[in-house]
Amino acid sequence: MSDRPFLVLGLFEDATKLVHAIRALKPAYGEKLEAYTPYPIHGIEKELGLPKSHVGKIVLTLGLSGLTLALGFQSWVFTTDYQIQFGGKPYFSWASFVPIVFEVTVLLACIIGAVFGMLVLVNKLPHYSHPILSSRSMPKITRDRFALAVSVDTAEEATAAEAALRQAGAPETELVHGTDELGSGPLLPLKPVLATVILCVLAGLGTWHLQRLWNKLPLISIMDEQTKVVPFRANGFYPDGQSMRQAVAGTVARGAQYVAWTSPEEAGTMLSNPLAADSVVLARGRRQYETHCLVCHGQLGDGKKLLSDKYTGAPANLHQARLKEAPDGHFYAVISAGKNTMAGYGKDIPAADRWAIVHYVRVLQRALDASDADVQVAASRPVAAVGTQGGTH
Amino acid sequence: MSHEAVLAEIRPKPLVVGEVSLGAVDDAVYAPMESKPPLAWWVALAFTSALMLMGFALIGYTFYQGIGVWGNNDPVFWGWDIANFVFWVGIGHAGTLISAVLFLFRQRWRNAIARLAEAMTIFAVMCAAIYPAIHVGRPWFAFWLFPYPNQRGMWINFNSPLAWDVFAVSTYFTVSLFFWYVGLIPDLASARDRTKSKVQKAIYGALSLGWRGAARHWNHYEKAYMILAGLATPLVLSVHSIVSFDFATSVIPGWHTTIFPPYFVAGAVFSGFAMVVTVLVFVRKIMRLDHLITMDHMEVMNKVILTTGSIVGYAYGMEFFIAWYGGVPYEHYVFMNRATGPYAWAYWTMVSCNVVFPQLFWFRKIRRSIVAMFIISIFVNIGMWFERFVIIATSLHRDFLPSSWGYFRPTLVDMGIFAGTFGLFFTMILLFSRTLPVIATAELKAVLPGAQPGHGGHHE
Repeated sequence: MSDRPFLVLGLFEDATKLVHAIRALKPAYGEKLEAYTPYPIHGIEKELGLPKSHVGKIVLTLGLSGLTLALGFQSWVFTTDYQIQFGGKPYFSWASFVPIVFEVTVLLACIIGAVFGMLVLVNKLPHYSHPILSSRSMPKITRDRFALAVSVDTAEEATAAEAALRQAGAPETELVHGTDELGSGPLLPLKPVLATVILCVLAGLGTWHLQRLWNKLPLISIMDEQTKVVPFRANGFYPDGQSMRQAVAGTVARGAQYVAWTSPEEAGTMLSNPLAADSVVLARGRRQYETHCLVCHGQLGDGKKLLSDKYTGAPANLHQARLKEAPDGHFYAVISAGKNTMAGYGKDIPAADRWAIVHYVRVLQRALDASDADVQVAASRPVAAVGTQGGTH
Repeated sequence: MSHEAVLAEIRPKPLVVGEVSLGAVDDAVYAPMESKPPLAWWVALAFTSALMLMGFALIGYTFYQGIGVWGNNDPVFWGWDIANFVFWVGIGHAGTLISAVLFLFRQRWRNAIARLAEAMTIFAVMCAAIYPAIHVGRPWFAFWLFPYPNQRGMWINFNSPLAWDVFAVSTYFTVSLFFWYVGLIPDLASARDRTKSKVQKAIYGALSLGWRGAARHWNHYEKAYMILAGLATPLVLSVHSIVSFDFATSVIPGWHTTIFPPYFVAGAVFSGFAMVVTVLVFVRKIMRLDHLITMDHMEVMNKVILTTGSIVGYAYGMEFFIAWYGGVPYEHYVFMNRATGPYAWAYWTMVSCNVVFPQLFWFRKIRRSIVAMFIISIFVNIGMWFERFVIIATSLHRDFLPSSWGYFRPTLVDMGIFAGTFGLFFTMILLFSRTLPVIATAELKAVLPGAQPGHGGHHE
């Protein structure tokens, strides 16, 4: 801190005496006067000739910025970047933007405008090195004394100012040395501030490294582990240690029928086709055949598969004599339960559709081995009657 | 009556009891910060912090197990968590109302109690903010509530009152905190200059930003403070209005009413003032501040409680009237169910605590009795908690579809977390009362007799 004379303080006991002293010294010192008081004194700004505070303009600017920012941002999101309809309202439904616009306006106006603007931009705080802070008078000023300060540059000026303050009724005066340039003196709380910053950095680094463990913690596994049955997982709840359960013997699935037969041959003796072979059923059967059967048994049911030769299985030729003679129930059973490498389709094709397929297979068998009479009958009818339009089952 | 006697009658009453000098205000207010706390303080702190830790432990348990450990379940998905959130946000309304609204109305009596009320606001909003964060189910994703550019390419729904709530509560907390801090700066400078401890000097010195009480600074400071008060006033009204939108914009019978915003705000002020009275009764006695926080202060607070309590009572009546007059059978059923259904016990607790007991404050004797006002303030706290519970539980437990009706019961975890927030609140109050000035000394000194320049000395 320099030893240059800086301020002369005169301490007064009450606000009225301070105001009188300001009036007495104002003509001689003018702009060089400053008052330091424990609380705001009404009208003192007029006595000192201070200009009106312009904090209001800063707040207004920030408030309008907040308003524009919030309204613009919400409008951009919902009209341009993220068009989603909510409750049938237009994308630009300004009324529902109002609450957030209001909050952001107030936030910016208060925090950046009024608080930051007043403290930092206008009052140039924090300023820990102002000479008056280390003066004898400061504790009295923040308690119950009212100081009138005169800026001085030389020892002579200081003596004159001290005399003027005494004459104005100050029982006590103090000469303060130093300069008020920011950072010129020792920054009062330098060490604690530094310590806090270092602690914050360390805590931040520590947290950064810890958070990488976050997902691995058994506590916070983002609900990966839940006490519920997961298919194909071990499960200690059941005696066999498996999650998935076998159906109870004799269970019939919803929509399925109880099956009494155990082989296609048996089914052939037990079952008969419940559907009449009309055009609707045949159309249905053709559609189901082409969906499920055609790829292996071929367009005509002759076992010429559409699969590549890499598939070495040999689908049955439906025109062989054994199958021509087989009853409908035989086909139904094979479709339902499968045979050899053929899987059962009972779960995939409803029972009525399976019977429709059987009818269609009969059509194929007859068509490939048609007699002259059959050809004449077919030629006399429109072919389009058997189409791919779906029927009911 | 003589001229002088008339003047004495109409002149504003002094805001403190007896002759109090400027220095004596400091001596009284800063004494707790400069002495070792008494044993009773340590006992109280041990109790409240144990309660707080229990709450945090139960929140940890909730994170571990999921929110299935709470009573929330179909159809009451909002249970104690949201009731407690609304309750604490409501408590947080007194501080800003006292510091901002009463400041604008030039109610000078506010100066003695504003600091404590503002601190309570901040602590209450801290308690409140816990609940939405833990209610979201996966609290580690709570930051998804804020709009930020993300890889999911999504934005939050700005049309949703729940998003408005995030902005309202976080803005309210930030503004309250800084409003409080701006008021604290001159007092922190006093603390800095008074203290003998090096550590305290460094802390108060850093926080006071090198405040030196210059007239040029006061000039801007006062302007900024008035602007803050002006902006905080609509803010405080907006917060609970927006909280009420969470309910009012839904189509649930009993929630879908236009009376909710003003009704919530009045209720918030009501509960907030009750909590301030509850705390002040102890603070002024234990900290020997009863000559600064006078019986007149308490009486005015009780008048505010009476007024807002009557507004709340009117709202209860009006809700019923509209439910009948509106002719919607669901609405009609919900209100009848409130008063006579399975939650009737909660409803009538609410009505008696909020509407009946505060009416005793019509009597001056009761307004000025410490015991009476303490008991009534506790009743109001209970009643206002029940109001939030009744609104949430009765509307949700029976809505349009009778097959999904149910009954909400809290679990021990629910209760423990709620008790924990009380622990947090009172722990913060206890720490605050020994580390920061509980009365805004700079503001109080400015309204003492003779504090402002004048001819007679005793000019307001």
